Amino acid sequence: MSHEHRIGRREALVRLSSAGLAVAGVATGALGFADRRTASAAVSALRDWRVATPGEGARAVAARGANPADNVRRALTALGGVERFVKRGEVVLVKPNVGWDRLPEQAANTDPRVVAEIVRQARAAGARRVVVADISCNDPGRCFDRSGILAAAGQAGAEVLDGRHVKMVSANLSGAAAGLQVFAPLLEADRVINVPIAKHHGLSRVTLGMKNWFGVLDRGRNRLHQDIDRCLAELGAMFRPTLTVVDATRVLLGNGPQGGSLSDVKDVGAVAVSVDPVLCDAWGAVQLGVDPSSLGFIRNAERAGLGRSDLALVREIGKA
Amino acid sequence: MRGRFRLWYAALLAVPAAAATLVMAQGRRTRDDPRAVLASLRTAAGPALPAAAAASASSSTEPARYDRESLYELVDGAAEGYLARGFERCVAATYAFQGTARFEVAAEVYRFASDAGARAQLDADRPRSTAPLDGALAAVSDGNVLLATRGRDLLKLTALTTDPGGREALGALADAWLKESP
Repeated sequence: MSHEHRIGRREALVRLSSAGLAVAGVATGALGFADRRTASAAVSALRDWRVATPGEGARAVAARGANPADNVRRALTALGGVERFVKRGEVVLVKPNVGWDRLPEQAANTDPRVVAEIVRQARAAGARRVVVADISCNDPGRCFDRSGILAAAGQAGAEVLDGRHVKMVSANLSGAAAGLQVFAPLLEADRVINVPIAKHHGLSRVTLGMKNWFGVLDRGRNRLHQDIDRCLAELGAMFRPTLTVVDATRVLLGNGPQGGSLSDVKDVGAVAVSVDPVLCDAWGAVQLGVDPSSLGFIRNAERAGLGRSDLALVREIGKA
Repeated sequence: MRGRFRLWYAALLAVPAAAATLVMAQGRRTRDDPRAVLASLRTAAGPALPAAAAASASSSTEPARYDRESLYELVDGAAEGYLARGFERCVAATYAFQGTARFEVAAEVYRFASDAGARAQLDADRPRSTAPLDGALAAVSDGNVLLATRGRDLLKLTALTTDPGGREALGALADAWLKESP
C-alpha cells in the first residue's frame, strides 16, 4: 500500500493561489502598520541660506555694552545692515537655544532681548514672516516660557514655535545625522539666523553655533554625542546659515549645558554677528576663556573649509 | 552494629540541618523587619523624590523617569559623564512654593551603581562657590543649586528664581529628602 499523495494540477493551482493571497495579505498588513510618515515622506534637500558677501569688509563684528538689543543693532549695522541679509517678503527662521527650563539669569538659553531684537530687525527689513523655533531638551512649554523668549519674541512680531508645534520632516542629512528628521520651519525658510548662547558643555567643552543645530533635529540626535567633534563639524557643513549671532550677554562657565547656578554665570555684555560660523564659534570660545585652537570641532570645521578661526577677522566695535 | 551506623548518619545530617535552620531563621528575621522590608522595596522602586508636603511645597509636577537610554533627554551632553560614573535611573519633578511670590524648584534624584559614583557626580556638578550645608556632611549649596548624596542616590535641586526664598526652599526639600530613611 502506497502512502504517496500525488497533487493534481487543480490542487496545485489552488495551493499556489492561497500562498499568493497569504503573501499579499502579509505585505498589505506590514504597509498598514509601518510608520507611514517615514515611508511616504519625500526627503527634502537642505538649502544654503547664505547670501553672497563682498570680499572686502569684516566677516564678523562684535559689539559690547549693557544693552543687548543695542549690541545686536550696532553689530548688524557695522556688518552692512540687516537689509544686506534679509529681503522684503522673505521668510526668516531665527534659531535660538531654548533647550532648558531656566531663567535668563541662569544663562542656559539665548537671552530673550537678543532674540527679540533680531526679530525686530528682520521685520524692519520687510520679512513676510519671522519664525522663532527650537526643539528643547526639557518640557518645551516651560522652556519657552521660563526663558522669556515666548513673550519677548512674540511681542517683537515673531511666530514662536516650540517642539510641540513643529512638524518633523525628512531631509537629506549625511554623516552621523543621516536618517534623522529636522523641523519643518527650517526647510520653509528663505533665510536662517542661528542665535546660540556661549556656554560650557560637559562633552564638547563649549556649545556655540555648530552645537546649536542639535535643536533642529529630532530625538535620535543623542547619537551625535558619540564622536562630538566630528559630528559638530558635519552639522556645520550641512547647515549653512545666513548669519550667526553669538549671544555673550551672560555666559555659562560651568555645569553646562543646563546650568542653574548663578555662580557659574559671568556677565560679558557682548554680541557677535558673522557670516562665518567658524569665526563666530571661535569668538564665543574666547568669551568663555577657552582657546579656540584647543577645540576639536573648530579645528575640524576649519579644515573642512567651513570658515576661519582667525580672531583678527573679528571687528570689535566696543561699547556704545 | 547497624544501629550505630544509623546513629552516625543521623548525627551527620543534623549538622547541615541545623545550619539550614539557622540561615532560614536569620532570613526570616531580616524579612520580617519593617525597616529592611521598606529599604528593599525602595531599592526596587528606584530613587525617590522628597515629599512635597514635608518641604511645605504647594505642589509638584508628575515625576518623570529616565534610564540609561533616555537620560540625555533630561541633561543632553552631560549624560555621558553620568553614565561613566555608573548612572542607573533618575526621577525628576518641579515643586512650586508660595512665598512673597510663587516660584518653582527643579528636583532630580539620580541613582548610581555605587555610593562612590553618586559622590563623584556631586563633585563634578558642584557649582563654583558652594558651601557645605549645616548639619549635612554630604550636601553642598550656593543658594541656587543644592547637591546632596544619600547612599547611591544624588539629589540635585535648582531654584528657578532669583528670589532669596529660593535658598530656603532648597534647604527644606533637602531636609525632607535626607530625613527619609533610605
